[in-house]
Parts: sequence; structure tokens; C-alpha cells
Amino acid sequence: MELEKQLRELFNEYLKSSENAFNQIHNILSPKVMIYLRKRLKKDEDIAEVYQGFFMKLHKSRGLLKADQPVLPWIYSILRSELLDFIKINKRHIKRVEAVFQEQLSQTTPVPSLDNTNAENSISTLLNDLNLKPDAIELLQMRFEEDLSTKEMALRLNITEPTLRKRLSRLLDAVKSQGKELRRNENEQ
Amino acid sequence: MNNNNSDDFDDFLESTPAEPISNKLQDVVNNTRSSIHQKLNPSWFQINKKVLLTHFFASLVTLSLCNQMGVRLFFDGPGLMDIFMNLGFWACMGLCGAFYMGTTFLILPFILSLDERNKFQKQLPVFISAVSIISLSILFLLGSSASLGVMAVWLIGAEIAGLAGFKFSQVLRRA
Repeated sequence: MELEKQLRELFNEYLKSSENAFNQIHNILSPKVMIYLRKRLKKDEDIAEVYQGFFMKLHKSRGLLKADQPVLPWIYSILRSELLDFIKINKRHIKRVEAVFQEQLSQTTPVPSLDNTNAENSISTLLNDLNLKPDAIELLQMRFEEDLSTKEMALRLNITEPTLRKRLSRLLDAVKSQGKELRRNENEQ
Repeated sequence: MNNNNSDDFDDFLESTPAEPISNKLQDVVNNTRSSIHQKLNPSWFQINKKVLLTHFFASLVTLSLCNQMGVRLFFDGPGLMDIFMNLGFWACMGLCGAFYMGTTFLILPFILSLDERNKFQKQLPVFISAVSIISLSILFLLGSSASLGVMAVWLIGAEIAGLAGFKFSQVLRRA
């Protein structure tokens, strides 16, 4: 109750853009948020992303905190939604990359029955057909031929997972546009 | 909250530092703190840009509806001035200024962020005077002519309406 009261007073000042109030709020919440996230996320990069996202969202939404609303549950709900969004986006992103790549694979190389060898051949054929840079091909091979997780890929490439996700996202756009072009050329022929 | 959420919430409340965080995470903590400090202190350049742009677009509307010291955009005739004139010449001049600046400052709280509003509010009377004087100068460049008395009444109307408009919209935003 003491903490709730203290935070309420600090938030009233924080609403008026008081830097001192923000510093005190940050000092109270930062260790709690950090410990909470460290229990739920393994990688420092992921913790950092959610931690930053949480404080930015808290700052942006502070005007929405109602006068009669308990502060701590409100803060917790922001943190939880930020964490859940992060997990959802991560999962959805990987699924999206896989789905688009599989779609391009099935549309550009019609292979009636795919045993492992044929599947690998068709991936190689697609990779040859698409005009991708060598590092992009390496990424796709790691993902689909070696079946590595993003964590393993990031580790092998010595980059962070967020960076890897950005690269995969760019690659996804490239595969999409080049796949369309490839199909258009095939239709014209 | 259901049981799982309640446990999770308790876990959040009871979280106390057990071991020191890595240097990398400490950097993130420091960067986050300084990013928010920057947001708490928005630049005057950014605020001025928003104020002038808002006033420009609001002027296009108000100068289409009401003749300001002989200057009107897009349509002919006195417009709202006809109604204001029913209250007398000096009231009309005051209301013209009030309508012109009030519109801008009524819109502004919806354009500025919370931190920008907090910073801007401290200098609100100065801002209204400055924008009013700039506007008057532009109106003169566009061919307007008015006596000192008319300008003074126009400025008083602008100042009062600017303050009232901004405060009213602030209340609306909080509601």
C-alpha cells in the first residue's frame, strides 16, 4: 500500500513532465521489471527489447492512468502486454518467413512428390533461380536445409536475434518480390 | 485477475534484485533513462514547428470564414464579420481576433504531445502574443490596414481566446 501511494504521488508529478519524479519511478520499477523479465526471457537482447518497450509505453500511456485506478496493477498490465506482444511477434515472424518461403518453393518448382533429396534439390533450385545475395542464401539454407532455430542461427552468425529478425524480414520482402517476378517470367514463356 | 495472472502479479511485486545485471543490460537501463529524459524535454524547434504549421492551416480555414482587417481568403464578402458587427465595431474587432487565434489554440493540444504541452503551457501567454503579432504583420503584408486601437482590441481578443481555447482543449483531452 505504501508503494502504491508513493507511486501515485510520483505519477501525478510525472504527468507534469517532472524529471525528478521519473527518476524515482525508474529507480523503483527498473529492478522489479528487470528481475521479472530475467525469469521469463533467456537472452539479454530479448530482455533489453521488452524492457525498453515497457518504459516507452509507460511514458506514452501515463496520461491514460485514471485518478481512481490502482497504479501497480496498471503498470503490471503494461509490462505483461509488452512481454506477450514480444513473444507473439517472434513466433508469428518465424512462421511468416517459413510460410512465404514454402509458398515460393511450391509455386516456382513443381515437384510432384518430395522426398528429402528432392526437397533439398528444389530448395537449391529455388535459391539458384532467385537472384539473392550470398549471405541471404546462407540464411535460407541454415533455416530450411539445416533446420536451425533463430537462436542457433544468430549464434553461428555472431549477431543478435533482433538483428537476425531484421535480416529475415528484408529477405522475406526480397523472396516475395523476386518470386512474383519469376512466376511472371514463367507465365510469359 | 485469474489465479495465474494473480500469481504472476505477485511475482512482479516481490521481485527484488538477486544478482547484478550484465554491463550490456546496465547500458540498456541507462539508455532507456536518457531516452525518456529527452522525451520529457522536447525541443523548442519541434514545438514551434507544430505551432506554426497548426496556425497556418487554421488560418486557411478562419480566413475563409471571416474577414480579418480586410483580408479574406477563397471567398468574397465579410463572412462571420456580418454577425460580429451586430455587437458593435469594437466587439467585432475583439471577436475577430478571438476567432482567429482561438481556433489555432483550440486545435493545438490535440497536435502536441503531453510533454510538449507541459513545456508549451509554461510560456502560453508569450506564445499567443508572438503568434498574434506575426499574424498581424502578415495580414498587413497582405494589404490590411488598421488603427492602433483596432489592433490593440484585436490582440486582447486573440490573447483571451487563445488562453481559453488551449485550456478548454486540455480539459477535453484529459476527459
